[in-house]
Amino acid sequence: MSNAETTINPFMMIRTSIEAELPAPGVLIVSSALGSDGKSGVAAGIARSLASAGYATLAVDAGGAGLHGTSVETAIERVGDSARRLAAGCDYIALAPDHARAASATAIRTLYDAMRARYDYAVVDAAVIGNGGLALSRPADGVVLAVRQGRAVTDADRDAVQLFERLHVRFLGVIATLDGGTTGETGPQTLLEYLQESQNVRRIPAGAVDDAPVRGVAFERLSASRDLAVARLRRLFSRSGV
Amino acid sequence: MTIREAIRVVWSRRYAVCAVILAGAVAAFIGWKLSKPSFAATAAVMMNAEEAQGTSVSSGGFLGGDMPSMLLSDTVLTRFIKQEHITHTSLKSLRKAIDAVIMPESAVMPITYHAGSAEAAVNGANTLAEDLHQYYSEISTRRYDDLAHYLSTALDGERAKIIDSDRQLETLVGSDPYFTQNEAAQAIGAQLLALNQQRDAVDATMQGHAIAATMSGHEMTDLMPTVKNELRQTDPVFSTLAAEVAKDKTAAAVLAAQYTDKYAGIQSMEDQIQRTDKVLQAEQQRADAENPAGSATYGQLLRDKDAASAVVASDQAQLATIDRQISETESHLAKVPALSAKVAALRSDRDAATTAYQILAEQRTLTLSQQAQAAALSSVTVVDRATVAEPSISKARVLIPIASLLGFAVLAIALPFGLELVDERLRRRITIETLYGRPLIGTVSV
Repeated sequence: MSNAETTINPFMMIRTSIEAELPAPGVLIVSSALGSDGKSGVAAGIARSLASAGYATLAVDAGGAGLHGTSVETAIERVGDSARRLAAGCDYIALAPDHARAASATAIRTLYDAMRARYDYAVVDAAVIGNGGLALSRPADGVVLAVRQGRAVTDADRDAVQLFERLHVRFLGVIATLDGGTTGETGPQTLLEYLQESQNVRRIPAGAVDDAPVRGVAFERLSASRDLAVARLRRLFSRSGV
Repeated sequence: MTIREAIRVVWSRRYAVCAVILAGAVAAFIGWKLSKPSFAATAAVMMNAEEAQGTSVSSGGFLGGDMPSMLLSDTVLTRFIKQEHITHTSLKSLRKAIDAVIMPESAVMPITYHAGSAEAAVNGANTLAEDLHQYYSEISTRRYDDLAHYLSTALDGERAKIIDSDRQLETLVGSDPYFTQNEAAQAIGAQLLALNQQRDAVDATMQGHAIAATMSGHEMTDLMPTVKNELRQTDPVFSTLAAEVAKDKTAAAVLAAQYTDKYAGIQSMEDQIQRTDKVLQAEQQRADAENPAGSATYGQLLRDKDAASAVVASDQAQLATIDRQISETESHLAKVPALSAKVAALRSDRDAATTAYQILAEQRTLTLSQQAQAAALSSVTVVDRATVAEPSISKARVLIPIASLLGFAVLAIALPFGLELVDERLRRRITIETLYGRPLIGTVSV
């Protein structure tokens, strides 16, 4: 049994649940209450699984790792212009985090409509709920939260649940993530890196925004560094049984 | 939670489980080391056969089956603790150290006492047997105790009354000796009569002495010429002149005998005699005017008169004393009726108290005899005193290590689950689903 198979297998069950809860076409948001809960790995796994099942799948990185992503408007355009999809694999597009956070609900709905028009499933690797993930979750067809198993419960978890209930977000369920040893400084960090581990990925070409520095780059870098440090501490505490 | 999950929970805390089990083993070892060895000694007591068969219950006795309860009662154990000077123990723990069971058809009950040393075990068993014996005796005779106490108190009260009456009588009699006699008035009357007779006698004597004193005065007057003559005789001038006159008269007589009247010498002699006689007369008058105290006779007369006066004064003083005694006696005689009544009342009270005392004393004697009889009939006898103690396996010495091991084992097993319960980390499905209110879709490694 290959490493890829052992990694994908749990996602087959998850995919089945998603198919039942969220018929195609649909936009699925993968978010989390805290950073470093493994949402990028979960989003990549779901996208791979759906793509492997034959669904036209678009993986969207809106979680902050795509520092050179496109704006929402450009993404609408690019998604609509994409000619075809890969036979085996998924399409990938990155949204600039600050653009994603600044986008209106209407723009996001338009983007989601474009995605539904072109793809069976769009899996969005969103930022944490409290940092823009909620705005992406509201117009989506369903939301799953990635939770790092073994970490302590925080107020962010409770706040996320309350926000979902109050804003009528379609919360499908939770996916627990275990530390598989693939994360860290040498492992994949972004959605694209996860996807490229085992599958063909076609990157949808971005516009001028792709290569231009975006606002909030410094903030995003700091946030990523903080999330990385938090993840290391959690793994350390988890192994020591604290 | 499935067995697999339970095992996983325990396995995840395996180091803590091992540490707790190790601590339990250490605690068991320490408990075994610290628990003292135990010795057991046995004494035996036997109950009165009738009571052992329960035939005397209706009369207030006890059953043989009551003996263990009596032995383990607070009263007996408290006495035991005091006698054995046991400290830092409770009645509950002491009861655990005592084994006392009696067979249904038996009158003998063995008492086994467990202690940390053989000597303490032997002493304890014997002391318990003695205490049980004493307690049974006390219970059997306790119903007489109240009556005996009441009678003793009443006796003390009557005795106090008698003593008080005696003291009051003694005070009254001490203040007036006549009240020691039953017929005080007659005695006082007799005394009064004797005093009157004595007074009459003294009065008569005094009258005689007064007459004697008067006679002494008269005798002094009668003998005054003799006193004066005695004074003249003792005066040297008068004596010389008298002797000279006598000599002159003698010489004149001689001259008259030898000569006639014509002789001139006679006449001058007579003239000289007359002159000397005049001088003698003058001297006699002077001598008579002298203090008669110089006369021995006069002195004797004065002493006789003073002695007679002193006797009279003595008689008068004696008479005054007798008069005072007569007055006091008459005063006593006037008080006799009231004091006699008081003395009679006191004597009546004393007689009543004495009678009551005698009755109470008889009742008390009877009660004490009945109490002694009850004690003799309702007795527990020590038939076999403990002499040696055998080492015994202490319950604590066995139970403490086992309990320690079991306790720590239970704690070791419960600890992971307890920690799991209080652990707020997202480790279990139920925790995650409860927190988010949605199902856990899957678990993946990323």
